Amino acid sequence: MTFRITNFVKLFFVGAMVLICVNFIFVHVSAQKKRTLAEFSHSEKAHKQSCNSCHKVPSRNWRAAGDYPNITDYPDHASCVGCHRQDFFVGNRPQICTVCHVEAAPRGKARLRFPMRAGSTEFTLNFPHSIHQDVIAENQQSESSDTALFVRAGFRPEMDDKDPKFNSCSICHQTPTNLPEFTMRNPIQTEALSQPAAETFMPTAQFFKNSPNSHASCFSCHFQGQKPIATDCASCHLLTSSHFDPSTISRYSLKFDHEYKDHNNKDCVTCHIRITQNSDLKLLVGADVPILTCSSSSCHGDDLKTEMTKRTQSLTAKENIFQCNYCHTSAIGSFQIPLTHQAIK
Amino acid sequence: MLVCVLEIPSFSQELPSLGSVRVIGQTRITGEKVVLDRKRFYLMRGGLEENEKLVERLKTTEIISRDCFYANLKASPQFRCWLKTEEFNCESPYCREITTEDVNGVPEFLLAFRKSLRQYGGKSEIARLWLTTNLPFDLREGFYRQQKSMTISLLRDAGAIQTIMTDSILGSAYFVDISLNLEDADGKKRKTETFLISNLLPLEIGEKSYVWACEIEIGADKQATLNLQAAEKTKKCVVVTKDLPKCRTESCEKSK
Repeated sequence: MTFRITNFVKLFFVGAMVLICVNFIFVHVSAQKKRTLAEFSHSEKAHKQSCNSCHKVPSRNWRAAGDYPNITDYPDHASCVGCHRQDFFVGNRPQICTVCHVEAAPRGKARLRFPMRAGSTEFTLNFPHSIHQDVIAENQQSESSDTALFVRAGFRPEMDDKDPKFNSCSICHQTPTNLPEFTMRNPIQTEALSQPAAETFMPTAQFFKNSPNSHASCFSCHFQGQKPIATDCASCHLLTSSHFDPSTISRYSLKFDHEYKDHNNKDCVTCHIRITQNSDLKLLVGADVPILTCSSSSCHGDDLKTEMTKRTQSLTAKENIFQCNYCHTSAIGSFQIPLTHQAIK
Repeated sequence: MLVCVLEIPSFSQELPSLGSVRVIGQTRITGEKVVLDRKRFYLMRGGLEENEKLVERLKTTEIISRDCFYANLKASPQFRCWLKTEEFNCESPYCREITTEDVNGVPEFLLAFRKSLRQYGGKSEIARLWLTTNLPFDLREGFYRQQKSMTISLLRDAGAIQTIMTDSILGSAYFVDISLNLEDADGKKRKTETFLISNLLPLEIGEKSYVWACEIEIGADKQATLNLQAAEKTKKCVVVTKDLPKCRTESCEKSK
């Protein structure tokens, strides 16, 4: 019994030593992997100051660099020298120069492009759609018409020749001129039932809407006066990794064409029904357009029911799984039907 | 020996019952079709009886109308006319683009434009597009702030579980993914749960203001629909109608 206890104690100590060593190696290696001076991070403790302690709004060169007062350049040397004075004088090619400059040399004046898009994932964007809907919602008087009231869905209101402008959304979201980067949005609560079939469908630019990628959409109201103002960077840019990749549009229903004639005559919030209550972008975790906006219409209701029936029949007959393809490409159409689609009745 | 008792969670949990309701804001007021476009509605648990206090507040609370708000600020008649034209029905200067013609026609805009022109390097297009950045606080966001604080005050203990805005064409909107409690106090199953839908803040239509508070049964089987009617006798709806105080000036009416 005593022997067993002694062995147990030894084993315990050996285990503890191994853990300490692993921990030491991990910490040591991590320390070695610590960012170099060339890799600037806003997350560094010393860098977590008020944004305008370094970034001046607008930058001195804004007239030459852009169309509107903006942050168009890196902060001046004065922002860095307080802590990094000695780093500016390390050898002929001080590493710190390459944070902003193309070349690490005392006379290398050319600077990298600003802002540095690759570094944008350090921040995520805070944008409350709900408030903006209330404040800027264009309230166009609806014209009186004699069409029947209370017709259940399947609406095709007669439009005049002018394209309707849904100003409050189109201030920021417009049809891109070129096909943007896109990807399928990965369903999180369902599994693929089969290998996706070969896919030939390819959307065009008009299937998508772009999102702002500059301050232009914000500063027209928020430059000063209307809070958060341009110098309150942290009110919109939160120092946390982005919950989505702003350079790529991810969609469940890749086959939806925003510019199709029976789509572009509708107000955006007719389908994007969650957006008017969304106070934080990262809370938009599910589909922003719940399926009932399509399934309860006379335009698509029957097609969606047919798809659901085909899937159910293929499962019952234990045949090849029917892959939904009315809205989805096969990459999504091969997945289990999610609970949200129970709305199709 | 240490004995651990692990409780294995049941995977046969019942799926939550979810319901949805479509609100259709199309009605006839004094014979004319009115679409309640871009109007915010709130969803509360319980019916008219359970939300009695809220309904009482909706009936009794006096709210300063948009016209009176800007009249009290001594906004120019031109500014007030700009907000409310035949084509637009705006609550603030953020509602639509301010054109060059608007700048020249509305004194507040002209003043702000001149300030912007000086500030933004003489770039007239930026000065016009960013004009609101030089408007006084109250003109810019005062009415929104008033509406917001009124909403908070009205809701108080009511606790809205969702809020939506109607679209601009049909005046229609959906509350979706409403978590339903389909068991009554005795543990008996029921098919629907009672909710209250209200716009809380009076909608100004013509010379009157309207507040709806309507009871609706929502179940998991079928999407419910609420048609808003102007008549006060509407079943299970309280429609609070009040005359709007006259705050529009004669000159404003003329310049329309």
